[in-house]
Amino acid sequence: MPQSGSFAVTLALHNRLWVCAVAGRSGLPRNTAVIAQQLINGLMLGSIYALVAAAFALTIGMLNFLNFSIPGLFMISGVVSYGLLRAGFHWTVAFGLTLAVTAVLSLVIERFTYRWLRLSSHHIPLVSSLGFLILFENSAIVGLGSDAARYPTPFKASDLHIEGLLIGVPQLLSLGVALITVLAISVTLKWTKLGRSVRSIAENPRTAETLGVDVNKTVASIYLMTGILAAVSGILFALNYMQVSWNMGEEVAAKGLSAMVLGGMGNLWGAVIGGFIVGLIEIFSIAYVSSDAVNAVVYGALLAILVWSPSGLLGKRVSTVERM
Amino acid sequence: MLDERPLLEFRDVGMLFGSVGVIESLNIKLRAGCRTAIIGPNGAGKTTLFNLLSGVYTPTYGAILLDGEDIVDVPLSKRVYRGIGRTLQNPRLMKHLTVLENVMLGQHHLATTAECLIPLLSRSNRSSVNEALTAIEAVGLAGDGNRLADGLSYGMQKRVELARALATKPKLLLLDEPAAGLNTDERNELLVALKKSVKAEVTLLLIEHDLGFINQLCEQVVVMHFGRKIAEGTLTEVVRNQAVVDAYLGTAVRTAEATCAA
Amino acid sequence: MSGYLSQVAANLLIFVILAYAAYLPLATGQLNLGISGFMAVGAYASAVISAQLGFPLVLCVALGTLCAMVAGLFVAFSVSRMDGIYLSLATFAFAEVVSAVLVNVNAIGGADGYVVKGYISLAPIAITACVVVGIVAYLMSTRIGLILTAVRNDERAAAIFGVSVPGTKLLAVVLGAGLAGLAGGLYGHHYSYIEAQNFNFFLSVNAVLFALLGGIQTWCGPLLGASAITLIPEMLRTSGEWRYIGLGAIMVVLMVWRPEGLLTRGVLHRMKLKVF
Repeated sequence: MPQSGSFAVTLALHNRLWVCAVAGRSGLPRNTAVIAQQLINGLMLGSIYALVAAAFALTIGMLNFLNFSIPGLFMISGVVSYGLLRAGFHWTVAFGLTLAVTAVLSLVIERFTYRWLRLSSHHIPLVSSLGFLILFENSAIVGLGSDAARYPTPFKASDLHIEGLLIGVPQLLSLGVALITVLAISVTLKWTKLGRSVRSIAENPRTAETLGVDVNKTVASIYLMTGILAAVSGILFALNYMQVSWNMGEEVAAKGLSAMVLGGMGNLWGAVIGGFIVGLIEIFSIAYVSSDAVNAVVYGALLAILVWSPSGLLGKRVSTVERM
Repeated sequence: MLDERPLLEFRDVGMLFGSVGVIESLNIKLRAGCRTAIIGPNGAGKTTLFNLLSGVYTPTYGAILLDGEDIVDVPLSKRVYRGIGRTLQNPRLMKHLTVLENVMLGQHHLATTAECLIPLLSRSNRSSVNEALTAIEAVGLAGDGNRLADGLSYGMQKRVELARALATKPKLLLLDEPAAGLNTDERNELLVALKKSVKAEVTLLLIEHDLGFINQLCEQVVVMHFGRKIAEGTLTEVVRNQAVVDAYLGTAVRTAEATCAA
Repeated sequence: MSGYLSQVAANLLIFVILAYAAYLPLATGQLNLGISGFMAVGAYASAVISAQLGFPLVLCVALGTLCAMVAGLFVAFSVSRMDGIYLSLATFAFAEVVSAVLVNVNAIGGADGYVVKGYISLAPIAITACVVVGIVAYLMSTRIGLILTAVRNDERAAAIFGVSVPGTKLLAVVLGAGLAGLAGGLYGHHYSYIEAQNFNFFLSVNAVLFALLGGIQTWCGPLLGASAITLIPEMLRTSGEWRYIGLGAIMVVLMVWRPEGLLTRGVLHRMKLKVF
């Protein structure tokens, strides 16, 4: 079973390397340079969390359930792109195919979770999505083995040097791609016909149906959007940390959930903001507290928010349950 | 008889959703033991009235007095302890419980903590079981006690719903369209059941559209329209009221007069 | 009994108790995703009390159970009036916090694990498991069982008949947490060694699955589920990953084809009819 500290250790290693590099080259006073570097790392990590958090927010906001297949898809996209790159495909082909595979899997998952939900108990899609997670993870163990695999670097682009700070291309990519992806989805939800259908289903699926919304198709597109968010995030993760493993989804998922709750349950941009905050908290905790304490801090924050301020930053006020 | 304090009083009650007034300035007084029907076109606020009584909604203004005490601040789950029992417009039975168990749920507020810890169908619980069986028999479902609620016909569900409400031993019994969706035979059976099982001291408040049904059961009628009371009195008085006629656009009058003549 | 069989038996008994830990909240319609956390609390509490205070083992395990119940109260109280998803998230977060904290507390072993003093053999565990099943079966036959089911079926209608819905839901989670703590205490004292990494999300998911597979409509469902999921792979002698792939597939298929589980009230009713 996964070591909860392994991911944090990788981060700590990265941090120390960057700090050394920065301290050596920068013209800025050391403290500022270090903090600036931490900020950049935090934002990069945060962008990955933001995407996963956005995926969770989408399913909770629109379909009202916790979709545990998201970490599964996250991991699958990392592993599949790894396989394709290793097989020699150009990164455009590899990433494109990966997104396609993840899209197909999302639709399969939709068929086996939500489609049977509507008349039954609310825990069914959650448990079913958990089943998919277990399925994916163990398939990855069978295919990849239980150790992490080194991810090839498909880019030859060099890192940027600004004011003596080292900004890796993958880092910039993560930030940019993350923001663009969420923006695209946000725009879709707000301005397109599909987006309106999605929002009407979030309000009341049965009413939406009587009003002529094709519920099946709309729900499938929500799953598709979620899958894309998870897939993009997985690829970005693999590019930045240069490794994939069968359990890479688990920790990121837990932190993505924390981010979503922090930002406000079900709120897309809240999740994104939450993701960046969690990323920053994590990086600064590692730097100034210890890498071991990170998980306790992040999950403790999640629990604290749920218990004391469940509406998070941007979420709706959580009212007492009075459903008729 | 009329010197005593009314059992139920709505004192200038209003219910607004946002700026939409579903009920406005409602004043109603009910004596203990009387049987009253509430009629009115759809959207008149009748079910909202029941929801105010059972605690689903809190009125925007006004007081609801039960036995002289304002119950507006009494939470929903405590209303049954005050003696308010109700059926819902569409039956909501517990699908994983049997008919008997559903009815015995109605007795929950009457059970002591000790009684909650003994097996439901044990010998020491016999009196509760028998009371539930009596209610089940009263609605004509004797012998069906062990059937699972999931899969019962609509008519049977309504009757179980009624038995459950009866089992709460209410002071005030609210029936929300108990005869809706039933055919003539079922309707007559229901009438017989209600006359037999609703004791004299229980105050009955009934929402119904079937004026013949009402005529058989209730002494007085309250007419609501757009959230206001527009008439009250006996059925005969009310159907002659011009405001009522206008509200129903005349179609109710002929049916009502014919029924009263019968 | 051979060592291997004895281990299978011990696991089965502990899993049965865990299944009921998941069952009680599920009986009210709530999903506890942090059972491993409460199990860890029970295990570590009992182990520490046994090592530091030397109380008789029964008392240690009982105190461990109590600690788990208090933890359950803390986690569930604030979210008892909210939508069920908050309880699932809060229990999930709780288990992760417990795991993350325990790994770092070197006084009780940290990542290296903790040796548990005091041994509990198979027989007392078997007796405890039987008692647990018996108590749950009894409870479900009383009015308490009635209101648990009522809350699961229709919270609003249950409230109309005077049931305190938040109180009932809280009771179910706290009792379930206690059972998880009990399982933890027994586990620790039987294997004489506990480490935080073993109390993970996967364990919580398993516990939930035991209950769901067997069926949450009757008290015998979790027993059946735990037995089936523990014993069938043993009989098939499948290897680790394929076992879990099978598990994942079972979960998906189950939720689609028979989400109410193997044993439902309807099934029991029909069985009774056949007998008479």
